[in-house]
Amino acid sequence: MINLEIDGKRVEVENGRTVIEAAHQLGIYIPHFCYHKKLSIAANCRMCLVQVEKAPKPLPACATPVAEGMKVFTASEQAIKAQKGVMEFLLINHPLDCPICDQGGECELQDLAVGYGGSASRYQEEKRIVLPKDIGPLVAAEEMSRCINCTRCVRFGVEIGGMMELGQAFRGEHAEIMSFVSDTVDSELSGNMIDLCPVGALTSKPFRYTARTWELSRRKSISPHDSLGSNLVVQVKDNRVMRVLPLENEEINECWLSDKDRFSYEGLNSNQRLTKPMIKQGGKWQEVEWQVALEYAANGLRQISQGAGAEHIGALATPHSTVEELYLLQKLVRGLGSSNVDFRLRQSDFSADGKQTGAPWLGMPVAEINTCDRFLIVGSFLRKDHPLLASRVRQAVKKGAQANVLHAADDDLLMPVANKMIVSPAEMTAQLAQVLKALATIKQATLDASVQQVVQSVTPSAAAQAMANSLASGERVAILLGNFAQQHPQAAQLHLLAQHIAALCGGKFGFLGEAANSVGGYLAQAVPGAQGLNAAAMLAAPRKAYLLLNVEAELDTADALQAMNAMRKADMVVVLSAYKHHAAEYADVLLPITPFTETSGTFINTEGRVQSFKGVVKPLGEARPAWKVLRVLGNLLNVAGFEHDSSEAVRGEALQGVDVAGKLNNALRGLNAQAAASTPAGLQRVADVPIYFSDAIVRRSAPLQATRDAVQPSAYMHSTALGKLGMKSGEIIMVGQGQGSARLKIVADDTLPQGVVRVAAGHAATAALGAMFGIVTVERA
Amino acid sequence: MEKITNFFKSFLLLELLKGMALTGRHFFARKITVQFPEEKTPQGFRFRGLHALRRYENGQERCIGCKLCEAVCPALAIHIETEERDDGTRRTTRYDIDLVKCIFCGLCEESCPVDAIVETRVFEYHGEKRGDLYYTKPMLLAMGDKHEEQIAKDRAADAKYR
Amino acid sequence: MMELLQTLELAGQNLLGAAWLPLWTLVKIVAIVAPLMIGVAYLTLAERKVIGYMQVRIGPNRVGYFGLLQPIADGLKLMFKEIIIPTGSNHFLFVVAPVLALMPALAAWAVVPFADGMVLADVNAGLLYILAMTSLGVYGVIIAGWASNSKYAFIGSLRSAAQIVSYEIAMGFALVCVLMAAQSLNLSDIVRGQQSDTGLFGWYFIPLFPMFVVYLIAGVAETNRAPFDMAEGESEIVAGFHVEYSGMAFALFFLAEYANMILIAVLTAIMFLGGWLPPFNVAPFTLLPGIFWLLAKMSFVLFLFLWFRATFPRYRYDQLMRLGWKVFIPLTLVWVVVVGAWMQTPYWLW
Repeated sequence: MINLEIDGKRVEVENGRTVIEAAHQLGIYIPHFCYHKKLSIAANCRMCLVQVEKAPKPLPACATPVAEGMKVFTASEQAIKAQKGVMEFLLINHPLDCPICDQGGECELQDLAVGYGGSASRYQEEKRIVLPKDIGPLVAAEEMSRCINCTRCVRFGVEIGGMMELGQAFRGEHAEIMSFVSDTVDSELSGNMIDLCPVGALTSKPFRYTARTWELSRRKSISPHDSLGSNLVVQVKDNRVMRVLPLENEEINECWLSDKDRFSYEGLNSNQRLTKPMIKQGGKWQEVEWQVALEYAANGLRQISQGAGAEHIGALATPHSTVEELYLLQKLVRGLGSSNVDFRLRQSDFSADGKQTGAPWLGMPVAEINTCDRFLIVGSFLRKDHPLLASRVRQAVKKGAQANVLHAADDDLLMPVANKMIVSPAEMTAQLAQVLKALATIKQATLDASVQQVVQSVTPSAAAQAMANSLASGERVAILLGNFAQQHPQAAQLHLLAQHIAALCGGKFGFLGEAANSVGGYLAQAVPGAQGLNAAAMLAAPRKAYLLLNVEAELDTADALQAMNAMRKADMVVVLSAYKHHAAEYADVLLPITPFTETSGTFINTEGRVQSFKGVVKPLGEARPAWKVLRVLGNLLNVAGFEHDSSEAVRGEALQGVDVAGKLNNALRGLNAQAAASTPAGLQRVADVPIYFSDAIVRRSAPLQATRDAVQPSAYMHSTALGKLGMKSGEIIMVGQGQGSARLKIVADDTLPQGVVRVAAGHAATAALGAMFGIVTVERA
Repeated sequence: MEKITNFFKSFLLLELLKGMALTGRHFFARKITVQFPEEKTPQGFRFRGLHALRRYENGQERCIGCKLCEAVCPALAIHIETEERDDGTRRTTRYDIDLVKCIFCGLCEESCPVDAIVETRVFEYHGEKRGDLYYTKPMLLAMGDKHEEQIAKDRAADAKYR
Repeated sequence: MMELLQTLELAGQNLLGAAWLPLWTLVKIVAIVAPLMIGVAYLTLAERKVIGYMQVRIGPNRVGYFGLLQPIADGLKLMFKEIIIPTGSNHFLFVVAPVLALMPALAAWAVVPFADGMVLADVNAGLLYILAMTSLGVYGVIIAGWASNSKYAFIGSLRSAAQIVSYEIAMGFALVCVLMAAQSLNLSDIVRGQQSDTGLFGWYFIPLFPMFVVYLIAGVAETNRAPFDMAEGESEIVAGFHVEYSGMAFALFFLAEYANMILIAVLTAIMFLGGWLPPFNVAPFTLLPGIFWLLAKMSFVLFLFLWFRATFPRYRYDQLMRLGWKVFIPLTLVWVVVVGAWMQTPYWLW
């Protein structure tokens, strides 16, 4: 520990800290632009110059390490003079366009210019002009003359985002920030550069010129997209969400936000919003009063439950629904006498049901990821499915951790990967078994009987051996199963093997939850239990009536074709949705519900953190929070226990006295590993859910839909396999699966294993295809 | 003692008579009423009357939608909505002044970085319906076009005191 | 003039017999009420002009020369305005209330002597009749407030009713002194009692000066005029009992207020200022008819009313009550005794 004195106050800090950190510890503010606590030190703005005793010249506080007995003066005459001098230089080339600048009112330069700037400029010469740049639909770089070259954005890209999207070119007065030639800045985290920019050089493009910061009221909320549950500050004006910023929470999202969370708000007021209840009569949609629509829905459900029997009613919800909504949905369905309720729409293997000891979760707190030194990531499009978790893994890798990846696609994780096994989906269990075997050999452990047999039948490959070595050498190992592994047709097998691997290396084992409420769904009991049908079974054996909560059947389910067939066959489909969508074809009643900004609710994130939020704006049109709609449906159907008068009451009923932490458990009991089935003949489909098609809100966010990640999906194949078929990359071909087919562009991708075709799910272009996993054919169109 | 004399003095109603003497005197004083509209009082170049939005000489509207006037308005009489126009500039899509709320304090004028919103010398206006006094952007721009000459002269006269 | 009237009456009697009397009375009533209404109308103009002048303005001057058509314009305006009867109000009482307010102010004029013998009803208990009639006015106020079915109107009516009732007592006692001095309740007799060779020195305001002041002030309070206009309080509370009234219904309250003012003024002239008597019993004064002197004195009192309004700020309600109950009533009580005692001494010269 080092003792030093800042402005006459004594402070003790760790060795290696800088003066600015010591000052912050004392609560002393030192003006700065380029310094950021999460980024490396650049010391190029010089605003934080302070006077240090015995130093001949002022020193930058952000880059000066503390020394024993140091005496620092942050507001002495010399320091102030230095800071004012720096400010004058900074302002020389800064345009005086605060009135039109979107940063105006929340600009660090503007704030500090009040304190340190002169009232008039002595600079008479021409100001520097930096040409505007078009860097994509998310970040506006229209006024790069405002840039003070702090390089925060550059450092963010390199250090946090993992990708250098912006860089500083040229020197001296000609230095300017730019992207690579005609490249856009829209990786999954690039929106954070807007927050980081201390001036108005990088601003939000969708928000551009729509409101001033002082007009906005700031309301807290929780992200409804990925399973991290990022804390949000939703900024509202005139009952409309104008933009979304991160709410700093070191344990979850730190001070970052993924672009999905940040820009999805543009989809909230999309013209596809459903604002009036509608019923289909004689094949035509009619807008009706709530009372009429609700009674129509209730009558339909009642007739089917009394006629055909309650087991002919099925309820499906997306894992983006809140705990309250899921709880009331399952209560309603169970009150009608059915147990057919599920939220795991994209899951295809339910053999673990009944053998789980708790709700599958991350297996550790989110923040612990940074401290792990070995990772085994099984089946995850990590960067796109979990942008900020990927960033945490990246930070850990940067500190020396080794990442091992088992997956069916080799997407760039923007970090060094120690060992990777890229295999077709059908081979994944066998590969994982090999790792387990190699690991058992290293650890000289006897394996549990449940996996013994399977493991003995495999011989570890060199890659598996290397991976096992890597895992065995770690002290804090994390085995993480991604969305792909959870959606895999042998998900339970992967689960079981991963669990044993984790047990062998004494590490943490967890699931990277698929969506905002993947854990909450289990705790809200929105799972079928022993009697009911799960999501896949409900669609495989079509029900007479479906109750859909937030679900777009062809986009949100594991098997789009099957889901659509089931919907079309049903007598009665009641759709609770915030948007008008394809349901118009098969639904009988459309009930407008609200997205997360217009209702209160609770999400339980992947680490089991219960986060409740309040509505930030009033519901649009006649839309109403889904929990209210479900409550009234419960009343109309005379189901007991639907007397809640607030979402808090629902949450109370759902979670009161529930030991959430105690209910989180990844262990499987009583499941036996099975020998991997022989690799099926034909091309296997590898389906990802593209980042901006993962839920109803982002699908309708115009700026996100304009990014590279949202282009219409193509089919990808290894070039050798493509050559065998005699096709050329870029051709339009016909991908067929079961009875469905889709015309797509075929693109060669040599990172894919042989024998697979990568075709994304969750997009209208591929909605005519069947299951996310399975055999597909590729033919000339 | 003084209290007692004051008590009895109060019965003489002297203060009341004094007051009546004052009003009585003024009864005969020369009247200063200005016979508007035949006679008009002179106006200063800082007169704060009806608002106007100005344009540059090339016809481009001055307002850049910075909303400083909206923020400074103590009566919350100004409502502005902005967007990025096709040429990339920040412009208002709505600039409304509710003259029923306006207190004619002149702070909007004072805060404007481009001298777009000004208060003219026009004060003889009226509305026959409530909505008539809700001035929208086209109305304010028309005011500016109509009185630009006078406005420019007044700004020039005031410039040396700034 | 008196002879002319008498010959007219005799001729009429001969012509129509028994039917003449009601007809003749009706003619006399019209002859009193019509000028009174015109007087009321022009009193409003006078008020605006006088107050304007005292505030160094010139008052209304646009409608007609010197603003002379202003009252007519105002009247027309009020006549064309809609009378809004609030839902939930008692419709009958709501309509009756303004009539109740105006009627007593007009009825009291029946016993007012304009000159010697020139009186509609020479009632012996005239003063009692006056007291009875002016007391009735408060019903108009209370009923108006109650019938409006509005808490503001109701509170306003209670406020002004309390005020009117309070000052009525002091007013009554002041008049007791007058009738003690005149030893009659007949208003003509009271005027005749003030007749003396010394002219205005025979008038009762000399011996009863404190009562004159009390009566004048109580009169101002009684008519809800500034500085006792809490009932209306236009600059702070915006009307009291008549908030819900509009158009002609409101105009009736307006008329009643001004008719009451004129009534109080004429009564002050009769009780304290010698009625139709000239101030000096010498040539130019005695030549003018009695009615001229009465109207002159009345105008003077009315001018005082306006002058008060232009001068004094409004009382606070507790001050107003204190003045009525703790100053005026004791004062009048004392003065009744003083006058009683004084009249037993040879120094009583009236």
